[in-house]
Amino acid sequence: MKFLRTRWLEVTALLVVGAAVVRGVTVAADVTQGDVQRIMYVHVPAAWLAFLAFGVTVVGSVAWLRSGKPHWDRLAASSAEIGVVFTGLAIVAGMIWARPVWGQFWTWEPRLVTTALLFFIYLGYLALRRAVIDPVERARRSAIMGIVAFIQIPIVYQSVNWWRSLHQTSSRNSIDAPLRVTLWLAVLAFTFAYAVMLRRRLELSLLEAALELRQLEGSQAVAGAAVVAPSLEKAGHHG
Amino acid sequence: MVDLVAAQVENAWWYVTAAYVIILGGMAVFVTALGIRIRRARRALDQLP
Amino acid sequence: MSFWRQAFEIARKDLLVESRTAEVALMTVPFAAVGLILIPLAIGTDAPLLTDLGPGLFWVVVLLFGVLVILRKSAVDGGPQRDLVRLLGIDPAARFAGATLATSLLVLLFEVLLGPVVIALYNPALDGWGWLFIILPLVATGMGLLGSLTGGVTTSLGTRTSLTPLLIAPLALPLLLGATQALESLERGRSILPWLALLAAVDLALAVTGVLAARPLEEAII
Repeated sequence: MKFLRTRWLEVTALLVVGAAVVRGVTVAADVTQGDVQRIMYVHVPAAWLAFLAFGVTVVGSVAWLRSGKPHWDRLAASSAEIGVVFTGLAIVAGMIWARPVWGQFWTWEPRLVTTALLFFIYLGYLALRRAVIDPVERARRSAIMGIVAFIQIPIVYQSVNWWRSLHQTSSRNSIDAPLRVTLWLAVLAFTFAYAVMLRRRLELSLLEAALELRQLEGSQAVAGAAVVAPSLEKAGHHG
Repeated sequence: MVDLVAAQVENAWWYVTAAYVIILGGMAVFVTALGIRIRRARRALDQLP
Repeated sequence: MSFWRQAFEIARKDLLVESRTAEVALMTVPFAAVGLILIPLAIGTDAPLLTDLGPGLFWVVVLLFGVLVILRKSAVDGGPQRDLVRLLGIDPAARFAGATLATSLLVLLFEVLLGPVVIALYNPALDGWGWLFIILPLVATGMGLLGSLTGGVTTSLGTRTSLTPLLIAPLALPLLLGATQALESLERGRSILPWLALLAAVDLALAVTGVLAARPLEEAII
């Protein structure tokens, strides 16, 4: 019982993901595409999760700039990492689907191009985080980058969309009701999975922050507080 | 270029299996990796004076 | 001093520092020109092919090699310069605007110097070349803004020269599409306005972000 109390989120996520997978492989096949369409039940939720994750990152970024509370920065960082993983997985699953259906792994479809760029944009964001050592500096710089990236995403998408529409119109086909239920179940399942991952990643961030602080204290004790330059940060010279 | 090539794809289940294994496996690997990183961070924190 | 006066003074200072080394004109432009010579050697020197590829390659080179303009030495203030700018009470947004103005002008110079190289080597179709007077500055401004933002967050990092290009390149895609498709639309007799609007929208969105982020950016640079 204690296990259930502490791990209820994990257990629920596992159950819902399991149900979604079972439903995904057993539901009647799509009329036009056949069984390959089942890939959509993991591909679409993975892509959705990536967008959700990057949305949470920008919320964390803005909140950090407003409040300066470290947990907002940890939220932004954790969510971005999950988002990058899922963008990568969504791209791979999409390519596996495209191979039999479109006859090739890659096409210059707007959503595909945008998703690939998203992957690299947030890879850059994570690289920036790794590059800055000071925790406050890291939070500030990555918050700015998180916001810049997020504002640019709709423009990137729109530009690719326009560029594509010049050459050909993208074909959209609607899906049947039972299939839509399956898709929504899968989206719900992946959102639970996101919650589990985010909680774990936040736990890790907290530990890493504590570790950083301890190491910083250790290094300062050797040098002595007297050699640390006075902080001009909030002095308001530039008001 | 982006037309549907075939209504009935041969070896469809092969592709479906590959996609499911990669996505679900990827999630599992990520969660496991997080667990390992958490444990490692805890150990490092304990070892510090 | 008014906001714009401050911005102009910052830009003037940046350009003055740049003129001492002439890094963009004497190093980045020749490097990009070599790039434009190398590409046909790799993909084929067939004249009609090069005429087709010319404009696209020009923009790719401008966006990729243009990152070197953003990374130039004179874009980075030393500690004493930064302290002085702070003590003078320069508005962070004005500083951002000034730095952006200087970088944009240098990217524009880069484009203008590279243009003849492309024309000479690739013999591209030059229908509606008058539009370049609008397209070139719009792209240069976008690059300048992206440069100030990403250059700001990577200031003084050891991996700055690798990290900045990674941050800029994917975000520069709308600039690339806006520029290339505007020219293609001209060639096909379609309306060029959506693409100009796209370029302007990118510049506007980045400018607003830059002004809003100017203060935290300033704090990050110190």
